[in-house]
Formats: sequence, structure tokens, C-alpha cells
Amino acid sequence: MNCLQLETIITELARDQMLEARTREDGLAHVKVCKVCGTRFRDERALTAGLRTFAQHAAVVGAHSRVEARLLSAFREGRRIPSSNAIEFQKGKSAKWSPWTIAAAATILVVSAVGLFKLISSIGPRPQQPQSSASRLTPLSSPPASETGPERSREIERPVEPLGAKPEEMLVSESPLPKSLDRRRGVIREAGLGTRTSPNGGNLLAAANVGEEIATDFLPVTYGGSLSPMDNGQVVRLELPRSVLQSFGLPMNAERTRERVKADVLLGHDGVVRAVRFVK
Amino acid sequence: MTLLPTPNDDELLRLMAAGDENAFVTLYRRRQGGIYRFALQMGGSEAVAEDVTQEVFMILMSDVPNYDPAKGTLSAYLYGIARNHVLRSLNRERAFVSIGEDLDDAEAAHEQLVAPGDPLGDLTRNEAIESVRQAVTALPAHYREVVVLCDLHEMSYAEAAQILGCAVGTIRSRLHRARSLLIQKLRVNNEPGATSPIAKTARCFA
Repeated sequence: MNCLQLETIITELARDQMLEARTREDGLAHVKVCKVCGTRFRDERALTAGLRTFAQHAAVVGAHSRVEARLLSAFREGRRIPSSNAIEFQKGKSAKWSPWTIAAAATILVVSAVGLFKLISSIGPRPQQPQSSASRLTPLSSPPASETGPERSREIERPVEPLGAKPEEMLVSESPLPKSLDRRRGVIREAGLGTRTSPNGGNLLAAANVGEEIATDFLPVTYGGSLSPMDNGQVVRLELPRSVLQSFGLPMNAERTRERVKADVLLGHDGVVRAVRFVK
Repeated sequence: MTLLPTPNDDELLRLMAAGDENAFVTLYRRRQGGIYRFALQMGGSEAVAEDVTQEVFMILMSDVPNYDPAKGTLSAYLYGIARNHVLRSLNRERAFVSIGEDLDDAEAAHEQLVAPGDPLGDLTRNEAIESVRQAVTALPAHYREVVVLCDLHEMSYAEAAQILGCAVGTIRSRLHRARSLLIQKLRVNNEPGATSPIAKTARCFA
């Protein structure tokens, strides 16, 4: 046997692994005559001894008893949950969700559901009587001729109450807006520009033309609780992932989820988003 | 008095799946030590080892239908889960420096193994154990896991190959290389001027 051949078996030789008897004899004979391989073999044997000592030293180590307690608790919890299949257990991972995670997920679901409900409600027939204090944003109607004017943002004079309260005008201070916004009876309308409305008074998607852009209505964003009255607001143009459309109940092309969509976000003075509209 | 035979892992698992708490406890106590030590020796952290151990058995509880005895032993299945979680943890934390990088600070903390001239002589003392532990921990993950499974947990190449999802030949070659690195590391720690005996090897073709 030569050094190269010994190199192929030296690990098994040093670890006392199963080897063909003749191969083992030749290997052991070689390490006796070859000084370099002999040194290498002794190093491998010493390493094996050291690793075994280390393993024995660590053999008494195990997980803390609290791990068993937690697992037993989870096991019992899984057993209490009725299941048609006796071998199904509650997923261990769900037990690891923190209360904050669950609360956040529930809040998102509630907000999405409320937003969707309001969206569906806004599509319904427009009431003929004046808007009540609980009115919401409704689609734009044709602006009166007297109110056509330059396409610029306009200061709103009166303070605004939260969406859903008595309709008030909003202070719009963001200059890049190509047209003015005006509210009449809870309606946001475009000044100087015609709008398309459906026969039933509701038009969700093609509510306004913004220069060469088309935008939806402002869709209110609620947080499950009452918001502070909005003294002033600011509309900010953003680009959002297209997947956001689904959160507002709007149709979305599944093949375009990676693209972005322009949106105008209405921010209250407290920085809280009050409404969003999407722009094409 | 007739002694009842101790159920094997598959029998315990079947009883556990049927809701037998004692079966679960027995199985847990039988396997948790190995899983914990594997995670500790791979991850180097007791907190990580504890988390991994808990996660492994949580997954076992919820994933019983997916365990197929025909594909391997329950032990290999559990070690495989533990390995995945440990590697994920290591990737997140990147707590360890690969062997061969600048380890001046770590080396300074090492004590001399033995008197000069016999750097790998007596490895039975606590200092030697600690040196070995640190040398193993400093190995790259794909070398460390074969040393931990084969040398520390005394698994066969076949068992290790099943856990790591690779060929037996791969296990052999990785273990061979890993042990060479360990010898080099332990020798360099104790003889800064020494070179690896492997590099000095003069091949003979007798």
C-alpha cells in the first residue's frame, strides 16, 4: 500500500470503521514504515479520541424541562380540538403566533371587510334627498357651470369632519393636483371637467378625468374606530403595488401583480390615510 | 412477571397519533437528547438548540401523516427537520466564522493543549474538549454537520446521507476533508509556526 491508497482509508482506519481485513492490515503496516503517514495516522487517532471524549462529555446534555412542558401542553390542546381524523393535530406553528400578530391580522381583515362593504354600498342607487350626516363619498356628478375654473387645487374654507359624518369640504394643499376638488353634499366632484355617471347614479371606476388620467372615486379607509375630525388634509400622489386594488374590492389582472399603480392618497393632519383613489 | 417489550419509534408514533400522551412523552424523552445536542453542536447556542428541539416535535405532532417509514427511520426524519431549522437559524444569525478566516481573537482564547512537540497528544482534558468544541463550531456548516453526525453522534455514512440528502460517497469525502481541517486547526492553535502535516506529506508509491 502507498500513501495515496492509505489516504483513501485513513478516516475509516482511524475511526475503527468496518474495513476489509486485508486492507486494514496493509494500512496499519504502511503507517508503521512511512513516517509521514504514521504522523498523519496518529493525528487522526488523536482527533477521533478527542471527538469521542467531547461526545461523551456532551451526552448528558438535553433540552430543558420547560420544552417538554410546552410540547405536552400543545399535545393536549391538539387532542381537545375535535377532528374527523384522529391523527390530525392542531398546527404547532399557530400556537407560536403572538397575540399581537393575531390582533393585527384581525384588524386588517376587519378594515378590508368594512372598506369592501362601503365600496359596495357606494355603488348602489344615489339617494335623491339631501345627504344625511352619515353619508359617505359618492360618485361625482356633473359640476355646475358656475363652478368651472382653472385646474388648480383650491383652499377649502371650512373644517372637515371624518368621512361618513356630515359632509364638509376638505382643505387640499397639494399643488400638483391638476384640478380642483369640491364637495357638495358629500360628493367629490371635478371642477371644469365632465364626469361620467352611470344611470343609477353610481360610477366607481371612471369617475373623473385628471387631465389625460382617469381616476376612481376616493375610497374611504376606516380603522374600526372613530377618527379625530380632520382640520385639513393633503393629497399625495404615490405608486402602490397593484395587489392593493384587491384590498379595495377592485378588479385586478393577476398577470400584472408585480406592476405598480398610481394612487392619490388623502392624508389627514395627523398623517392618517383617510381615503385613496387610483389613477390610470 | 412478564416484561412488556419497549415499543419502537414507529409504534410510539402510531400511539401518539391516536392521542396517547404517554406514547408522546416516551418518544420525546427518547429522542430529544440527540436532537438537542445536534442543534447545540451545529448552532453553538443553547437558545437555538431549545427552539429547534421544540420546533421539531411541534412539527412531528402536526405532521404525522407526512412521515413515511419506508423512506427512512423516524430518527433520520427528526434530524432532518432539526438540520433544516438549524441551517435557517445559522443563515439568519451568521454567528460563526468559517475556519481559515482570521480567528485571532478566538485563537487567543484557546489554551495550550499539551506541551510543545505533541500538539494533539492528550485530548482528554477539559481544555482539549473545549478546543475540539470550538474547532468543530468553526467549521463551515457542510463540514460541521458530517462531523457532528458521524463522529459525535456515531451515525453511519448511510444514516448521515439520509439525513443530509446526499450520497454516501459525499459523506465520506466531506468527513475526510472536515477531519483534515480539524487537525490543521488544532495543530495551528497550539503551534503557530507549524504547517499542516498534510501539506508536508511526501507521497510514496511503494
